[in-house]
Amino acid sequence: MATTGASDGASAAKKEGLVTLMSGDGEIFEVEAAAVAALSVTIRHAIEEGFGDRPIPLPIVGARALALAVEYCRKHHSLGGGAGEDSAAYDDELRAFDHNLAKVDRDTLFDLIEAANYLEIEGLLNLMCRTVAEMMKGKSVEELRRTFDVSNDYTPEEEEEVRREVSWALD
Amino acid sequence: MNPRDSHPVSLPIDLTIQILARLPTKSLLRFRSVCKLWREVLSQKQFVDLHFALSSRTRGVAIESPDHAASTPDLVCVDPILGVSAFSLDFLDDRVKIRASCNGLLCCSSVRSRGVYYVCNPMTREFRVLPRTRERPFTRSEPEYEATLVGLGFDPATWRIHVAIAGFHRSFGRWPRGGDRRLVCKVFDAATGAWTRFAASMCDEFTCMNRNQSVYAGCSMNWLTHCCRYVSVLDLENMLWGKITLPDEVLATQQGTRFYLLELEGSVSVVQMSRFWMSTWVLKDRAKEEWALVDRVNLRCIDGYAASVFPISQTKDVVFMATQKKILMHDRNSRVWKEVYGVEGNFTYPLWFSAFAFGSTLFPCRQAIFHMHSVRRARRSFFLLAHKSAGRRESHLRSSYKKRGVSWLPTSYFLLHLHVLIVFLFLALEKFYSLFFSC
Repeated sequence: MATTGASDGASAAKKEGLVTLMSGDGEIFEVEAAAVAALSVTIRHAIEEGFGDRPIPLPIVGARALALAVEYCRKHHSLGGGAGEDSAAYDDELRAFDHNLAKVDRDTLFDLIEAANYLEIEGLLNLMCRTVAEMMKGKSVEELRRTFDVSNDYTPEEEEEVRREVSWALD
Repeated sequence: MNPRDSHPVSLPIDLTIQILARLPTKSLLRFRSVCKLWREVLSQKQFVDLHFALSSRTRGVAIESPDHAASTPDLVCVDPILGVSAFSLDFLDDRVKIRASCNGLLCCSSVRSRGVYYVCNPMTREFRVLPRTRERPFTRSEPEYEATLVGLGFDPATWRIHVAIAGFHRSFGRWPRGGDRRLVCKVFDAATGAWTRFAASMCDEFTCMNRNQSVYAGCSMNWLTHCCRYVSVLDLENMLWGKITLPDEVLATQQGTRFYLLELEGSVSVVQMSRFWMSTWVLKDRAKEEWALVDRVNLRCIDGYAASVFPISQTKDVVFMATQKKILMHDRNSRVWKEVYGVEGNFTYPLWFSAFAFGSTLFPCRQAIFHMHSVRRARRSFFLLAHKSAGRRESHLRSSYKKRGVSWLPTSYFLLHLHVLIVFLFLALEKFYSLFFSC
């Protein structure tokens, strides 16, 4: 793998504090270990287990989702937990960042949920799930079946029965 | 909607659950009809608990309609996320008054029939009627419809329901006086399906009217007493009354302030209101009676409401206050006040009189009913049981006949009942003869 070979050859001092991640589709990311390990439980454990000098394989995480997740970790590590008088300003900046991150298209949103779950980044998982929940809130049952690829296994009578139970919530 | 978004996504079920758990209760009820798996998932304890844990942002207030006119909804809920929504309690099929609220469940008493209490979840519209508190009509030694205290407890971990009603014992024709008063308390435990009655001596008054809400925390019900020096605690495990003294700082500055007992994230919280400040204390350690000051809110912004503003519910982010005709919301982080609900015209009661802390949940209130049935069934005689199972066989037969085109089996049904009658008759005759011959 050319990329890793090149970086192995570089000065060891420069690599200090960095960790290499490999996405499911084989892309390599070099990121600050401290930032990612602080937010991602999976990567923290991987580093503790001695993956520090080898690329950490993340088989089910796509490159695009990984890039966004890493960005999330970086931002939240540098701004999050900021104490003192700047904390309010930091909070606003983080909120704006989260808001922008959640504006991605639907497929990326779902990829990010899977990535956040795999990497165990609690905050990101919460943010993305909330975003999807917000989108789902007003959808019809039929639309949801299509989106989540579930088939209706109720008989018409059963469905009518279930609907009747919650008829007041349907309008 | 983006055209790219129309194709389906494949998400593992555990992640779908994570998303669903962040939906409002009303949407979840709708989505029960997506498929059987979703319906199953949405009613599992694990899911309901996760949904409860994640819905702390949507806790707000419920306002009971002051006049039971047809034009106004029975219940109006206000929360920080969804805003105002209307609910009906018509599924109870009775005129009720809300007496207590806990974790999304309400305890209502019937206006028409004294001593009838309901526990219901207005979201899922599930309810249970509690057994009558007593068989005989009204006596003065029983806590009654106008019981001084009514408390509802729903433990989010164990799903256990308790209802407590309490009132002062009153000898006939006499108002209780001084230190010889006995507080009679009845506690309903949904696990046993029965009321337990016990009495304790209690010298203190409870503040009356609706402001005296019970707060449920850690398997105990808590009330504020009239003197506002301590919290009265009803320990539901041991059926004992106890006291927790208010923080020293509060007792030292008691002059000219008002007190309210609310819940904050599962703990007991005391709100002290002076002219310009509202201080919120939380009970950190029950055994050591340790309180912590968590927030101080400046009331100058709402000075116009002066003495007629009451705290109703709170989360770590917001506080809901009720005035005569408005519900106000204060954001603890941005320190901004907002009017979230208001009524116009002349209502019989001010809003603070009929407002309760409420956050919608999916918690059930009938899970113990199966248990009750099985207990009751076990008590029934063998005879009845045999009759019952025969009836079931009958209905099975009938359905199989239905398939073949025969819709009803009146003769066999009649014969079955006749059979039971004959056996009864035989037993009675035998008894009669044995009596006759022994003479």
